[in-house]
Amino acid sequence: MTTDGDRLAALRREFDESFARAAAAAAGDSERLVAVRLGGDRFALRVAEIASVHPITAITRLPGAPRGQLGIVNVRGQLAAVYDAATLLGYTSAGEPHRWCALCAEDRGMGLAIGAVEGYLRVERASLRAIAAEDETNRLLTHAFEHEGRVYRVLDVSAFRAAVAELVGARGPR
Amino acid sequence: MSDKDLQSYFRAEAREISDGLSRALLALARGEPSDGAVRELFRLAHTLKGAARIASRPMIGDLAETMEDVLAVHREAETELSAQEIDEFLRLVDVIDGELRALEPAKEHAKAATTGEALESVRIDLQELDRLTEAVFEARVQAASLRSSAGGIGALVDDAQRTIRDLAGDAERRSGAALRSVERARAAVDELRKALAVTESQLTARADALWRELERVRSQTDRLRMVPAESIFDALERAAHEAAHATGHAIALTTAGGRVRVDRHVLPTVRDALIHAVRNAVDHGIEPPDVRVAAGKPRNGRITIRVARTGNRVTFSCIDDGRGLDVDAVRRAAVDRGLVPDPDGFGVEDAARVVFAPGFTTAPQVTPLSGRGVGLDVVRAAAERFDGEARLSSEPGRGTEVSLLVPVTLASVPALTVRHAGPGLEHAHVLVPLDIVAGTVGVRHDAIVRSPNGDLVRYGDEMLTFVPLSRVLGAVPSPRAPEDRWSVVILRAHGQSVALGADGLGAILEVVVRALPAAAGRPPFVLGASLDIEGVPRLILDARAIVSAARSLVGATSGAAPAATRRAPILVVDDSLTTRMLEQSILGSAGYEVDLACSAEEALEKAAARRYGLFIVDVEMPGMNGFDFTATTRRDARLREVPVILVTSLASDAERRRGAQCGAAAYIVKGEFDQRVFLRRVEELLG
Repeated sequence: MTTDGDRLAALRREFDESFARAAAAAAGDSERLVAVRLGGDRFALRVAEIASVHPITAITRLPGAPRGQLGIVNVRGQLAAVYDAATLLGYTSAGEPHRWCALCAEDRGMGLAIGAVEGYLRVERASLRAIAAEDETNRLLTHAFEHEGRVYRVLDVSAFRAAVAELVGARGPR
Repeated sequence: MSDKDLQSYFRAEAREISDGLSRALLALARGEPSDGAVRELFRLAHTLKGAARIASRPMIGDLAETMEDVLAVHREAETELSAQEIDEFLRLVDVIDGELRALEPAKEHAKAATTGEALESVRIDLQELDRLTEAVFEARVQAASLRSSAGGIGALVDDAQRTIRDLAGDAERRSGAALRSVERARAAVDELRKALAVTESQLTARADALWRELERVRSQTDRLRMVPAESIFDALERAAHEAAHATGHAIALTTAGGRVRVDRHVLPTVRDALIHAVRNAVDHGIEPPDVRVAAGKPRNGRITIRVARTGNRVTFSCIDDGRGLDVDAVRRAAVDRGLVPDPDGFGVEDAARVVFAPGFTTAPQVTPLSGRGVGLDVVRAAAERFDGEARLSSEPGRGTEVSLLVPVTLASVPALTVRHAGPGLEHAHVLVPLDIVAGTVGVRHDAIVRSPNGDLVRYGDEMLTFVPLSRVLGAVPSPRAPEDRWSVVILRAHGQSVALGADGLGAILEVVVRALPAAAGRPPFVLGASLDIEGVPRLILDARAIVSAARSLVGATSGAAPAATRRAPILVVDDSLTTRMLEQSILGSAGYEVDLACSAEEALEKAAARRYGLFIVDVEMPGMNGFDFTATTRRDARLREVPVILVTSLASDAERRRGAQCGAAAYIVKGEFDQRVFLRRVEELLG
């Protein structure tokens, strides 16, 4: 049985190897992504947009939390506010456990909780297809791509940040 | 102070201000949010102007004043800088930087390295310090885990002991070769037990020693973040003397409380605010020497800088023995600016409030030092920045005291652990800063007095407003029997007291207050968080805010009429009587109103007759099943907004997916049923 620790170690190895390969690869032609599962569907996060991925051990809820906010977690001594990526995408969560937290590269004080991390992918940039922004939820999804016969949609972490800023900003000052 | 010292101080301050101007202007040039930017730039330009005039650097003073004049217009009109103005300002900052470089004495750095002072202290980058704190924290978590592992070996020792006892019993029933075999096994296990016991003992001792060492490292690391308040006294003294020199006033400045340690992040802002307060005191407070002598006062005006710590706050006071606040002048200026619609009855307290308004001044003309009335505006802004307070008290003819109260944000503060045992919260230990705690008392639930203004408890001779902790945390209150006891914490602030009702009290701990990340928003009544021994964040309550907001927190509070009962009722649909009763019991205990239906068809009838907030539905039922009930209600315009939780023994992924496809908001498997998770889902969905 694969434990969280094994999974994390494998992910870290893949990350490290990807950095080692970076010099050889034509960096401009490919995109590095982390494949995740949300609400049973496949998604991917751009490696460049996330600082790190951590297993979630304990979440402390905050009073008056807006929809999607799970609480705060401790990541190596620093606090981060964690949001349920699935809820922000409009999924009516079916009790999926929040096992992983992806910290945003631009703001390590914010993380997205995800149910399952599938692995690391490198895809040709040309294979990413833009998704038309039709509604509020789709603004969080910029592109889609196919990899080994599976379709993944790319989560726009910056758009998640903006959505969270709107959520917490809308509640006004203390 | 020698002129050499003065110039050295000026260069250091001016470099810092120039950096601040650059940063703020570049942020504006990048199009970043500009809230408060004009005010901040104005403050910096104003400070630089004053410092340059004192250090006899007229060119820098003039450049700063040019910026100040433009910014004053924008500040008044509440408008933003244009792109052209930003570019021009950046050019001016470049000129100022050039002037400052020209002032640098040659080989300053090489010389500094040879001094004893340079060898005894080093500058530490705050980010490096943060990384050190992070590493120390991680090491503590690992050490805690090591201690826990040692405990696991202790359990193995116990197992081995039990095995030895079992083998002893076995040996009594055996003889000959079988007995010898059991005896050998028993001896081997005993050897193993002894070896494990020794290992456990050594591991525990070493883990404890490691923990203690790491605690020392943590404590020292925390202290590195704190610097004594006296480190800003030189700058204040300099400002006071140069202001006295410029105005012709004679002053004597004394300081007290310099050993109080304050967070490095806080102190620079406090220093800037106090410099303005000191300049204001010299310029507007202290009378000319002849006037003082005529009034029977000492020739030299006295200014005292006093620092005092109370709990997690530090008060910086600037006290002068000057003429005091000119209430009439403040009233006239306030009326002119439209700050006071009715000047009748305008007293010293009103004046003390008005002088903190942005840009407020009573000075008839702008003076090189503080004539724009910027001083107290800066004090107020510093207080706001750290969620602190700015105060002023004054007595005509006797002097003025300006105080700035700021939190010691990263200092260790003593805090009382308070427990909330209600359902729906996993980590319901919160911390209350001890400086706000006036006492604790146990109170029976039936001793709480109901009144039209909310619940009250008696504390000594007082009847205090009672606020349950669950109300503060926005959590589900725990059910109460009349004889149940509340652990009541008496909070005292702003001259008012409030009784906070908790389910238990824990240890008093020294905790490090960490600010919540910006992405957490500003949750009500939360000051910050602290990490417990296992690294779990514990919330630190903003007890002052609780006292201030007590009136809005009272009402349906103490369990007799919990908040949740005001919500729409829940309909539980299940063909199993046991499940219905169990769910009703859990939900009822948590304060929800519950209706029951034993089939989907009956549930649809009930839903047609009454408005529900939530359906909790079994999947496998005779007749219509839970999936079909969910799909049916999703198609019904009147019911589709009512969320559905499916509670079922069906645990496969396919069934979970089907639940989601039908539109269920949550899917809970009976085999994995956890009351807390269940109640949290209910709470989330009822909103």
